Amino acid sequence: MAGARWAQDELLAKNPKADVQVFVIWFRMYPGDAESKWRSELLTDRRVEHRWDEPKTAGRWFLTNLESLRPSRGGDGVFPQRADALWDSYLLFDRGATWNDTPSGVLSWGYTVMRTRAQLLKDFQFAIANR
Amino acid sequence: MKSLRSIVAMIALAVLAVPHAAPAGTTLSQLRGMQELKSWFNTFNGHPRLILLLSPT
Repeated sequence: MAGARWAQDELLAKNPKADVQVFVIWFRMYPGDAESKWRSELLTDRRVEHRWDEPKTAGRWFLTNLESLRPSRGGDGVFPQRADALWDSYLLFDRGATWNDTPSGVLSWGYTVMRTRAQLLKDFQFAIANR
Repeated sequence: MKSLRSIVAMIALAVLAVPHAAPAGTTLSQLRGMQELKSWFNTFNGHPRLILLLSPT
């Protein structure tokens, strides 16, 4: 939740003209998590799409396929242990990224969003400036 | 006049039949699998893209 608020305030609100697009996938990871707990006011930017993913399809897929992503701007490679899905995480892609079997053009990814926010901020600024 | 009433009734029925979207930001749509994410991703080729995987609490 802190990661969502931070992304809204530090990435999107401070870069209102950036042509970035954001897809946020929400799912249950903690006891008590539920779709009804989702707070719509955390990430309100018009460039953001939200989805609920009850079966954790995306989180499971990214956890399984992390090794194939090969981020071009580094990262510490830390991912959640003893978890069945990648969560509280970001994945940032460049303008030329395409998705065939797996997505190309990964700039960086990080777990958790707050722990890796310095890298995300640096790479986000690189991505939006690099036209 | 009768045909005008029929037209109005048909329009009203058509409007009622259209599913109404919930107010933005109040409900979440379900992710329709990885294919939906992949489609979104490729639709915005040419833009930087950020995917966030989050839990609500």
